[in-house]
Amino acid sequence: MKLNVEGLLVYFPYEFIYPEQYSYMIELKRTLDAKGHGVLEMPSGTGKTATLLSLIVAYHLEYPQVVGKLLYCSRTVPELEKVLEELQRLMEYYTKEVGEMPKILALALSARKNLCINPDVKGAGVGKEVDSKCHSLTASHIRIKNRHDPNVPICSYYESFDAGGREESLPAGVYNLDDLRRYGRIKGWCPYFLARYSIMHANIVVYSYHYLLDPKIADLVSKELSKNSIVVFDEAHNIDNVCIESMSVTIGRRTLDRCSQNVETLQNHLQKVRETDQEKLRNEYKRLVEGLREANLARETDVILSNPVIPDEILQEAVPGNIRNAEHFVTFMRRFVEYLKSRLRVRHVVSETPVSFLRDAFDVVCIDRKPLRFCSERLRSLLRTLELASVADFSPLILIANFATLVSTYNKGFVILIEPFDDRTPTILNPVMHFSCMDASIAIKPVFSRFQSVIITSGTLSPLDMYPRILDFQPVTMATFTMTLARQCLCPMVITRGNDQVAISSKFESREDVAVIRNYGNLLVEMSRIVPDGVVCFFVSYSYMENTVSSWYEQGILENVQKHKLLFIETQDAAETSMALDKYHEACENGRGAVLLSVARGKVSEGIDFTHHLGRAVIMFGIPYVYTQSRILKARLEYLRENFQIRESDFLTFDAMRHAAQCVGRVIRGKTDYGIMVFADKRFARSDKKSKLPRWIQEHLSDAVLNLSTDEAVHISKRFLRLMAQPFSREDQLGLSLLTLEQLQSEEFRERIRQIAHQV
Amino acid sequence: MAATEQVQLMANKVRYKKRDGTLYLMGERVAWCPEGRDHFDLTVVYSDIKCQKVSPEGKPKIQLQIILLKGDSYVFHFSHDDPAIARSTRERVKNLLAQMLPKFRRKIDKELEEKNRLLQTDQDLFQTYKDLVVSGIITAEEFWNSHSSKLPSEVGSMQKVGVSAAFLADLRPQTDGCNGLRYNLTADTIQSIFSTYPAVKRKYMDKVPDKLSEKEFWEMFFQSHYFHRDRLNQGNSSKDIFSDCIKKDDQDLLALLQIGVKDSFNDLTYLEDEDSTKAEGYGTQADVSSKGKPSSTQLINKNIIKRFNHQSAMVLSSSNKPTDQSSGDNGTVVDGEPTTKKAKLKESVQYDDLETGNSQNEVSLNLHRSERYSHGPTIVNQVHQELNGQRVHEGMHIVSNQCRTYIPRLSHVIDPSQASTALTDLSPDNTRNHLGESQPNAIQHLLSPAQQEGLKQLYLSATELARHFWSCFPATTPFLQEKVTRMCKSIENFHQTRVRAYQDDLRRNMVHANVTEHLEDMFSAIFTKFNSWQSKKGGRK
Repeated sequence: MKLNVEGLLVYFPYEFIYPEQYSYMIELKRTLDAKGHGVLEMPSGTGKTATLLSLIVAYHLEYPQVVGKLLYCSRTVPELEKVLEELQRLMEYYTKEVGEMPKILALALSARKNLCINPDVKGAGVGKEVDSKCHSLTASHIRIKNRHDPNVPICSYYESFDAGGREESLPAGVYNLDDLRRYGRIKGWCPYFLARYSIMHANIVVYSYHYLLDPKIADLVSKELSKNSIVVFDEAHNIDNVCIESMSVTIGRRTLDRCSQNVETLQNHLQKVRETDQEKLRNEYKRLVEGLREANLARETDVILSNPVIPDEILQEAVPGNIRNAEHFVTFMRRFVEYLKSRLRVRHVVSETPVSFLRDAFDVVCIDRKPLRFCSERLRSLLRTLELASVADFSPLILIANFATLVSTYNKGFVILIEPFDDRTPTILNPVMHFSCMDASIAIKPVFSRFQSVIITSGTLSPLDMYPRILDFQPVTMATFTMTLARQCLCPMVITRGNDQVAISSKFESREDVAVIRNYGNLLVEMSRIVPDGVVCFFVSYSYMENTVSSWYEQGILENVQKHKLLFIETQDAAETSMALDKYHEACENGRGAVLLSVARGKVSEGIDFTHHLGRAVIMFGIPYVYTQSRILKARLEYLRENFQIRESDFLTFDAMRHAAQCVGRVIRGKTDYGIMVFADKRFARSDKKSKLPRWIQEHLSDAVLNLSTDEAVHISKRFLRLMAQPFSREDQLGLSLLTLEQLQSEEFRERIRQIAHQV
Repeated sequence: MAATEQVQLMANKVRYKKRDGTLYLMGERVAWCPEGRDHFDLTVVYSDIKCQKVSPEGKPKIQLQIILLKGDSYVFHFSHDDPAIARSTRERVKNLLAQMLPKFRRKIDKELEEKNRLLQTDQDLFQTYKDLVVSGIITAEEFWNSHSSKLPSEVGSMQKVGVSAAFLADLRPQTDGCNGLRYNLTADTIQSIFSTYPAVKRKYMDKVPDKLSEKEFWEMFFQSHYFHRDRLNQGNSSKDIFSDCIKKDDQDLLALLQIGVKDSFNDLTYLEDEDSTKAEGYGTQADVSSKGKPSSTQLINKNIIKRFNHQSAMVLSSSNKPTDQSSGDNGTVVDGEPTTKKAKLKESVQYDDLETGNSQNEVSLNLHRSERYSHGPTIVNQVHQELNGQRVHEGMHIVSNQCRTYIPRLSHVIDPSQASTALTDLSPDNTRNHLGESQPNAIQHLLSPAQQEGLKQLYLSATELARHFWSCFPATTPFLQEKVTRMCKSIENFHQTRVRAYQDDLRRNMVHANVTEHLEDMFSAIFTKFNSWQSKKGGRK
């Protein structure tokens, strides 16, 4: 249908529309008009992506000067593919309505592992190996060697792309990962570099967060994207952790040992080069003196290492004198590595700021701050000059260089923690140094300041005001939308006690209690008895799940579960879990029904949807608090309190509840879907927990379902399931949760739609 | 040797009936050939073999016995000078036989079992079988060929009973009061164990009954580490015959993991979009390799989890047809990309309720009265009450309306007079009916129940034979021609023996009515046809 959203003609590729979608469009348009940032929460399964895309594409077509490009960031590869599929659909609709396809180039960008078509390289399988193999075939010095000696292997796909791919740009269209590969095969071009090159002139780019947030990658990929772009972070409820991860470094003793080896190798190599080709080193030195770091313009394939620091921070100066000479630099690195080793030898926990770390380094080994800052730049230059074949071997040294640059650049928002022991094994010496970012806003700041509109959206962003605070930005719109429903298709409830009236909770003091474990077990047995098809359960951590499963096994509870359903359990091994997940699907498809035991914050809870019969009920065993004894977390909490005035308990609860909401939200993926959401912990009933759930779950959580025992919950579930099994037709929805164009235009509905958006 | 089959294994110096010779294991049979000759003195087809037995470890003579289904047995003596070589040869023969036997045995057993079951349930068929096959008139194969429709077809028209996920739970041990445990095993449970743990089945085939009795085998199973995964392996693996099963399972699991998951949406390794710079060391997590060794309880817990995943997967796959996996639902592969992925992607972005006109491809449950569905079945008398109302009248009205407006579609039926002639011609009592006799059920009065039963049997067998005979025409192939001749002979034979005997029996009992007249007609028609066919054939020659 063609909509008029406050004066903008929007092509929406469906014949009906949910009221909240229209409301979402209005809010989004206002955000774009104001050229500001927005935080929008809309329930999963209400067609968020389709809504976003149709509005932004319409906006782009109408005002190409204002909105030049859309950067759509999502979390996982399947999600990226889904976005492009939606876009494809939108384009088909445009073609049908307008008669021709709009001149829009949209493409996905992913790691080489997902795009490579060279059979020799692709066979490596694992991401890192594919990358290093690709590099060994496409690095510029290898290609130069090939010109002299044709026996040196190179990648034919890259060569033909390099020869002709840049002149002829991709024709307009939507290119998913598969499409890119297909196009690459037809043309004989490397899809990865084609995509990397094409994002510069593409209208819509879909890629993962890291390409924008991780400075190491963003520097390579997203540096030259125009300012008048709109950035959308979908599924952004976890964005602060992504920011923090991308700026943090962890160094163990093994890394340092390998680093020493790296330094040795470099030294030997340097010796060899000095004997054979001294000219090369002299040239490098000269280049560095002149400060022309980028004189020989980095070829895209030579990306050995990029700066871990956000672009603005890079000094426009020449590399300082004491590390300009290659040998001096290697010695410098050796000294730094030895210093780090000596720091790891302590027998007590050390926590210090980057400033004190630098001062100590200066006092002990006379390493100054300035050369440290240039470490990664200098190493980059050296590795390129030496023309090393396998750069992947140097990853530990690169890591240390990155750390050096980071630690000397930022003195606020970071902490250095040296832990001699793992907390769980306090007798085994296993020193680890964490260089931890505590301020999520550091990584995302350039994104906010550079692009005119940044939209942060997800199904679970409550409480909304938290995100602007921890990411430190000023949104122009903050809104949460409810899910209009013709029938109440989600049934959230809080179970606080078992049939024996013993309170159930995953609280640390009581989680080992036999009665609690048994009550949790009985809950699972009962639910697996009455719920058809799939039941998904989430535990608060792996170790808790393992202990509970073994107690259940001893108590014979699992056997009772097996009487009704097959049992699958997530493990820490991704491949094993994939297998279990696949079998779980199979069991749900063929009607046997299955139970999946899984972990909040695990891979399943983050990336897998359980639509329709794949998940009819989800049980959250306990509140998924993060491991609070971690020193990194403690430091971060302290930082948040001092700098953003966020209380520790507030942040912890917020973090726990967003993960709980993520877990239970997996089960509802649309209005025709239905599912039971069980919060099995008495603490969920408290208002500080409840109020942090998304509004679309909270409004169904009436007082009547806040304090249930297992059998009461079973009773409610039975009634709910019977009700939901009734046929559900469009007529039931129409006018309530589904609107036609005429209804949308009527005054009465306009008023109602206005109420859907809940401004914060 | 002019053996057409492939020789799988050849064992020299094998004595049979005090003569030296060579034992051959081939694709379908075992054969023994005496030294210096070039023909087999003894050949046994695998499917005839019931089981094999070997001499115990300590005995000086190293022997292998083959017991046939008929009860005969052959003993082979491995007489190599070096007992170690002889023993190893024997082991090789034994292992190969152990592999070959189940392959043939099960096929035969299954078919036989099926036929046996059918004969037991169908009394008439059984009688016919007895008359025709047992008395040697036609062969069993021919009999089953014509009745193959009654046999369940190979492609599994019968639904396989799946395995309950909780079959091990039903195996709760009971204490017998004196420090022992009792496990109650039923055939079903054993079947479940076998189909879930193929490694155990292989073990069972291997060990029982040569080395262990069935009871001992299960005793060991319940004591084994394999069964109790939660106990750590305490190094008594020499006693535990199932220790290699665990290894085998782990290997299978690894192999499965290597293949990976077909559906990329379920593949957790596919989720992450990693780039080169996102390597280990970045982020706040310490790298996994440096973590300490897990404690023993953790190991046990992990083992339990692994075991549950494995068991559920095996239970699931046991109910699948094995062919499913090889053919796979990968979809056709275009350009190296499975098309199913594309379809999945399309499906995942589809909002059914936002579109129109896609309801055709789904079947919705059509409930007229949804409240009945939600309240479960209603009591019977309620139905009566409901019917008593106006509905009965409505129903009557509808039925009578239909009767009134009934129009026979005459163009689709045959002429009544022709139909009646055909019917009378086909009925046994046609002659009497023609004569207009007033007792259509005269046979009941004429014959005793036993005689009636005999007549019925005669008819069943005769029609069976007649069907075989007539189905040969047109006899175009030599096989059919040969069958026609054979059938005619069989029918003659049947006529001579069974029908005559029955007639004599009737005569002896003073029954003079010619009840077998129709049978005679049938036979004479067959003989006429046969004669004319033969003369035609002779004329052509």
